Amino acid sequence: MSIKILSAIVLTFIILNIVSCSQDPSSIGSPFLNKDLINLDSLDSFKDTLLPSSSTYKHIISLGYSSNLLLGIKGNNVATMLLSFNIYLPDSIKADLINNPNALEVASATVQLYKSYNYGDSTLPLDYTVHSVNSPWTSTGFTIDSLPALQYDATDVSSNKSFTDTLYQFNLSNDLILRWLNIYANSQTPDNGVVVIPTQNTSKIVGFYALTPATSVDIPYLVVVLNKPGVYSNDTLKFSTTSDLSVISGNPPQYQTEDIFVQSSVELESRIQFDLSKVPQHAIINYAELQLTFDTTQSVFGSSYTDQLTANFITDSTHIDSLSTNAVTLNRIGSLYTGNITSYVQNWLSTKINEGIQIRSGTYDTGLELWALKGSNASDRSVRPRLKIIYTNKK
Amino acid sequence: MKLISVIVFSLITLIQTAVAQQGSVYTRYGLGDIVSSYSARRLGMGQLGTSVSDEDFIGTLNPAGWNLLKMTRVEFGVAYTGLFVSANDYQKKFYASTQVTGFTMAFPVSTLYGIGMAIGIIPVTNINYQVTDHLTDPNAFVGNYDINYKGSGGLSKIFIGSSYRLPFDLSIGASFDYYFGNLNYASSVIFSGSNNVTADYTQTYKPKAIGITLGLISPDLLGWTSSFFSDLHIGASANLILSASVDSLLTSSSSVRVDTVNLVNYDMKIPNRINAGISVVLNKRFLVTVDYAFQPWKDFYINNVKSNNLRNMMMLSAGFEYRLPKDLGSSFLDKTIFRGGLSYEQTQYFINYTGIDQYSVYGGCSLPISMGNTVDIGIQYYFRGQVANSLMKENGLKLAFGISLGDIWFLRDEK
Repeated sequence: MSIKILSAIVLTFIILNIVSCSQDPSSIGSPFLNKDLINLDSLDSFKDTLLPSSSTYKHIISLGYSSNLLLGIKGNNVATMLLSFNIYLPDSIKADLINNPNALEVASATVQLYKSYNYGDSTLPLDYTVHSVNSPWTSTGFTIDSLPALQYDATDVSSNKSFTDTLYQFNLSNDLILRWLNIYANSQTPDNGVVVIPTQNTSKIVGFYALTPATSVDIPYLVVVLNKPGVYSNDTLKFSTTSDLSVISGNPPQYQTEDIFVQSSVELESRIQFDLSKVPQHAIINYAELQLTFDTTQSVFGSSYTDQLTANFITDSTHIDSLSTNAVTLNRIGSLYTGNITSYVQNWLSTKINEGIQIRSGTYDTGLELWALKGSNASDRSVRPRLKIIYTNKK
Repeated sequence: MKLISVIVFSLITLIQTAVAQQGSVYTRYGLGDIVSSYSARRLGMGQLGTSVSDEDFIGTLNPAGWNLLKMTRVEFGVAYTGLFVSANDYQKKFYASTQVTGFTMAFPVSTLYGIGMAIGIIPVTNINYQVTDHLTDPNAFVGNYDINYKGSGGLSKIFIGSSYRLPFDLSIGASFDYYFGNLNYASSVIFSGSNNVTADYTQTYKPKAIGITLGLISPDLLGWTSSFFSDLHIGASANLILSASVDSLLTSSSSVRVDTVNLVNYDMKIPNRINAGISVVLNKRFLVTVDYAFQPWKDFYINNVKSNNLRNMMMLSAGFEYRLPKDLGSSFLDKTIFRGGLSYEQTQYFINYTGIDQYSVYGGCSLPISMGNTVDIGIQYYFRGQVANSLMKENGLKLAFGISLGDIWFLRDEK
């Protein structure tokens, strides 16, 4: 009897407890909670005069990891390539060259480059000279700032340049190649490859597939045809690149004062900073959206690109690489590039350190896309960089 | 007994893991609703019973009441509260919550001298509400959002004390009380969209206080036993809070940061409480009690800041308990104890220049499960407040359930 009573009571409480858990709260009683009231508010840099400041600067980076090799001239951008080949010789050829450096004849040596990209009018000319490099370089350490110190022979070692829609070829001097073969046969200090320099009559920039860890097809190759007089002829050897990269010179367009610029590879970046003094110190940022207006008239894009910008908050403006580890993608919607920078604004507010945001290309080491964005000096205030914030603070 | 333990443990676990339970928004003020009695037994007879000495229950209002303990006793309680709240003809809502209300243990040291010792953990106040405002900002960029206010926690106390019966049958008692708790007041902004970050502000108070409870129960003032009246006692007790302080912590947090806005230790004043009552047994069956309680909540402060929304609490209660004299061979119904009561409470809440008064009706019973062990049920129906003057009217039903287990431990033979 007693157990039955107890069980019935417990069961009743269990049912009541489950019922208790399913109640939806209502707004009844909210006027009594004035001690706990919180306020949701919004700010718009355009309407609420959170004055932005913006500028463009050049960030020198190595393009050794780029999936493109760029060559040519367009506007103030000059793209130069460096190539070094992975020459591995069969033992028989090595033995021949060790016994007699002139035992073999180089019938031809052709560099093959597979086109992946075009920047500028593709019908305009591309011309270049190729020079043997005499000073060492690495694909990860060499930048446009290193180029003036690069030592190379003045002699153009290229010939028989040919172009199709997809394949660009040129021959290298047979003497140069024989010299390289002897270096590798005798295990001497490796050669330093060649530098490919566009000539002044060039009016476009062409991109080629580069050696990357992810790519093994259509990368640059050196195809060498060897003859051993009286023994064999037309023995073909094919070498991929060991290192390849391009270096690109360029500066922000000087005549434009309303715009800020972002350009891949060069690399141009912009810095934007907003005055957040109107946001309460202990506010919680519920949402912050950055909006940048795109200036189509000043922007230049290549044959293929990713239409995205990225934003990082700058942790130390005195060091160009002091950036947040997480990047925010700014996607284009109409004439606006927008992105959610809630965590950045919250960070500025919490740390009281607001060094601004770095804007760069979504694929900053590939291509040469030039984004022109309306800056803080734009005469039309509505197109200036805009920050819209929703925030909560305790009353 | 093992089965009972398993059932009880399961029930406690289930209740402790329950979430999203809600109660009265009035509990935002002061330290929340005052819990005068955690046990189903006291609830069934009007909550107080200051002058009652119990042989087979552990009262917590007056330590002098432990003087009649004959067996070691363990009690615990849970309570379900259903609350129908209305702010006007259109705004009505039903809320409910279930809580473990307390645990006590007592044992007789000397039945001859009325020395009984008790220890326990019981609630003193209770905060439990959740309110959600559904809002739309005229700025489309902000859009729809909810602001959620939630209060939880309360003040509890651990006590240990003893009773002693003086030679002329005046029983006295005292307990040392340690008060502690968590008072949490959370405000959150919640958006329907996934892009927006939820913002939470939580004000937490962690009060700590020490105090004592002193009590006495008179000898039988009738001095004789008539066929109708017997056992006339008066009793009184006082809860004295000797010192109190509170750690105040205000944090704001979201998914991208947690910020301690404020962390301070404040002085706190928890008002003392006095209880007084009279009881008499009628016809050897009906225990009738009338009680009064007073606690000056006007004096309550944190950091020397008093609340304009508090006034002095006063409660008048009357109750009865019907039980047949113990007799071997009694039926289940004969051993069942029945209770009832009424009370009027001038609650400590004073909102919009209006005091919130509460009227209650009580009922209950104790069902015997074995010798010295009972299952106790108490029911309270109450209403308080009003819809006028921008207040809320609350109609509540509280269903309390307790188990009182008795056994012979520690009992020393009297010489």
